[in-house]
Amino acid sequence: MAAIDQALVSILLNGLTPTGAAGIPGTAIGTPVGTAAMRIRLNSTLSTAAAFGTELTTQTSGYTAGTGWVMANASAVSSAGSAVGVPAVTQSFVSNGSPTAVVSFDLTGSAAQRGFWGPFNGQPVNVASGNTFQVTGGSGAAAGIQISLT
Amino acid sequence: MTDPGWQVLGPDGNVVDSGGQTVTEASSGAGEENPDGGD
Repeated sequence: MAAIDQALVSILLNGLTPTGAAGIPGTAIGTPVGTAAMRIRLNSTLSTAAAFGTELTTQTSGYTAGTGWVMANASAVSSAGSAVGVPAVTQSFVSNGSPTAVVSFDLTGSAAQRGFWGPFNGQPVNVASGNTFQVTGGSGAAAGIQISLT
Repeated sequence: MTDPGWQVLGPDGNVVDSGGQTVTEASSGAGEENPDGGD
């Protein structure tokens, strides 16, 4: 049974996801995940409610360990409890083959503050050396990762 | 057909694998009542 007002859901989602200008978090609940552009960290093992998974190493291009994918654009804001879609713009990297599997993601603040995380649909996603892994960008439901409070 | 969530592309740009959207419902089930009638 749902126990949270849907307007509050949107306030919380907007404060914890990159819905501000240039991918920064909204500020309606303070700045628990920082004031700079949020990031997507990719992991070769499963994240949990308590800890990150093991981050990918720096790849041939498009992914740097410790930085991840920086959200340069704002996601569409949540309204009346709707999910927030990330990334706003398609993100990708070219694999160096080590490791070859993408398992989970963490949406983090600019200083690696943890927030939402999840396993990729169909994980582990094997990405051979020279191949590109990408997550579809878009507005709202068009984005490859949907974040919601239910 | 390409799913909207993630894709793996070969060097030629062709899709070699893809998967659907990843949906993270952070509080799913957290507000459910105790089915045994407790708190």
